[in-house]
Amino acid sequence: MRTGFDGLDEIIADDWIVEFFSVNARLLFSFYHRVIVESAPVNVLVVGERGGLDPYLLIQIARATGRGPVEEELIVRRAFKAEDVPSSIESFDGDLVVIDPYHHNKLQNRVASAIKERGGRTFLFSFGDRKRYGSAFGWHVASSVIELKEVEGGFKAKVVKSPSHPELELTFSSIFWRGDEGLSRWLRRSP
Amino acid sequence: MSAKLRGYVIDAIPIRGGIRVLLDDFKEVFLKSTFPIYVAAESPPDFFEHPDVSSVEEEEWESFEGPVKLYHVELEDIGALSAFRRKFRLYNTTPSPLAQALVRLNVLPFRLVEFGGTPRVLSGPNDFPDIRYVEVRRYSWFGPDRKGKKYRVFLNGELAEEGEGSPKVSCDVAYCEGECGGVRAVIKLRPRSRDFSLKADIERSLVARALLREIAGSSIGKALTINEAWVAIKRRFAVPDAKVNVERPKTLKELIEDDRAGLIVFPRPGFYDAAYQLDFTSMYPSIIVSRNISPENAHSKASGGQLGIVPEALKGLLEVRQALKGVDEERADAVKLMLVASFGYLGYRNSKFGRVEAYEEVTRAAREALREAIGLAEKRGFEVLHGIVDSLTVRGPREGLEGLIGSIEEATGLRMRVDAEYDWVAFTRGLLGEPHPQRYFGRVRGGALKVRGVIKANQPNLIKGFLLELLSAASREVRGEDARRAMLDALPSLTEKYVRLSADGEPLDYVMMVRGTPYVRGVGGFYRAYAYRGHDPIYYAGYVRRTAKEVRGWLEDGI
Repeated sequence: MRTGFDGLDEIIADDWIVEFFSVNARLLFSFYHRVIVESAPVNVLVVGERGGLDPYLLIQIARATGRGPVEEELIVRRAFKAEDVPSSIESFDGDLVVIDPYHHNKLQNRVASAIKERGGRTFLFSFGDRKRYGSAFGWHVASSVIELKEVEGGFKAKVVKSPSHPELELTFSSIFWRGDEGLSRWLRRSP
Repeated sequence: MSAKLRGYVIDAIPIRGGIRVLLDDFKEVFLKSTFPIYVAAESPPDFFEHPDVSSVEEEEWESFEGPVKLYHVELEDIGALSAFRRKFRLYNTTPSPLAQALVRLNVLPFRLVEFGGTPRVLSGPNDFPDIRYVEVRRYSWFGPDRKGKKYRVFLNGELAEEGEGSPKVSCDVAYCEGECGGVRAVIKLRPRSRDFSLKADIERSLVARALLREIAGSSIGKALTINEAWVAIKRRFAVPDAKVNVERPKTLKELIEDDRAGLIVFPRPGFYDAAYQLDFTSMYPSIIVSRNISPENAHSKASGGQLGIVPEALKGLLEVRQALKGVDEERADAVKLMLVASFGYLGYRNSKFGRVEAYEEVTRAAREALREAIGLAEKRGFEVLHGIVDSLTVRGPREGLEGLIGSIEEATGLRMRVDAEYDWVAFTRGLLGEPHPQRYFGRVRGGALKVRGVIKANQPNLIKGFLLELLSAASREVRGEDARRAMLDALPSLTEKYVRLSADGEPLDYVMMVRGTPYVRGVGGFYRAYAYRGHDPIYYAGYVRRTAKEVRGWLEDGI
């Protein structure tokens, strides 16, 4: 699984459960659509009463990034209410993207537990400020946590929790742009 | 030998060891009873030594998760239910244990029952109870207002009295808004929704075999779910409190194809003569029944030939509605609303009998049926003007209509009828010129107007009046082109009239109802208009002119 942003991918390369969050809903929405396309084939769980995933945006991103069709490569389930979330997470084998896992604000520990017990890599995308709200157990369960913020000319990814890297920020010019790795190349661990 | 007591079952109150059954005319009878609950547990825990437990039996049931072992516990006191709920996972709490105890005793809500020995139901399955039922509705200067001082009392649907303050009336069942200290009733309830109908709720209580107090104040889904739960329990299919749904995994391609709503055929804006609106009768419920779509078999077609829980429940409702049509339209409409809600509840996440795959299957079948109907109409020389989910508007030879309907019914397995025969029908466009499929109006044979989406509940009364006058001008004409001309001719003078009224009309003209609350736009902004405090004539004049401009856009391009 990858985000498509080389510097960021390098930082989280060995992390089993990665949570991305942002108070900027539009930014997070675009970002995880990019991540899903980059990670295809992959499983996706959408948590919420409605929306959360734009299939046509995924197709558009795949075409724009030269990725090739993803319609058959993405396996999707939706969990419309809190009680559905843990069982839905458990139903997937392999790598998994979970959109807004703590959306329902209920059974958060069970959701986090289901994420923790999974057999595959998991990327989580949470709306809102996870430093202040949401599941504390979920924060503990995540190997690394990345905050996304919009900045002038692009966005930045701030590593707020990581087993292997200090707190740092990476800046990117666009969700849909393939840039180079930038200064993060200096953070490469020695072999 | 004591005389047997007869009465309509109005309400029931569970007490330790039995039920106080309240009948019409304030009669009452006590019946001994216990109350059934169903507990999921691996083995009967010590808790079953609870003093309120009368008996325990181990039973095998089917469920959404497969076979499940349940302990059928009979309680002396229904109050113990909350203690069991805290400690165990319960099934079959819908219908309520009280409702199950009553049905077991043959004591059905709003039926005429004879007591003395084994209770016996005397009234027929579709009989409406011969009781006094009262609605007390409140009003203010702007119209219906739950906190209004004025009231109207409707006895058995007829206006019996109006006044101010607190009415005095005696009856069997009352829905009461506002101060009701003077209303004496066997059961008196406060309606929770604005659009309430006591007669409709009594009908739903009859159909669902649930006490009025259990469904009053709830959404229509409650009566619907209780009705479905009875079917489930009869089959020993355990009804969960909260059902966990894990959706069948779909590829993105499948998600795009499956997650769609009803088919809409965008009309070409304009006026059309001699058109017919054909509607599928109860389309979605009929699809659910005919294609046997039910949550327990949504993952596979394997149903062993048996009708699923939801289809069987809806089949019963369709039959009841059919029996009531032509006999009592109000009662038929009460059941119709349950049918209308049935599709939504099939996909509703919190529904006990909901499953998104079942919901998607219904919409797919509906789209296919409408496409089939369009194809057949065109093959038979009809011009398809408009289509929306379960309805088709066509133009063509009148003598071919029956044949068309017959062929559509045969091809789709769904019933269809002519909902409207138009002298002319007009399809409108939006402000950017795009066709507006959900907004149209027409003159039906006989001269009445059929209007959809043009006059909205939250428009100011002034605008509603403006539009109604415009449409009235059109309704006098038999041909579409003449209707269009008539509206165009009337538009300038009516615009001028209503712009003038924007300044010097009556206070009621400026009221707009938004979710049951009256608003007026004042000079300082919108305010809740429980008392009129002036209005902003510039705002209302602007609204009239914008509406006039929009209507002109429908009319000027012609057919």
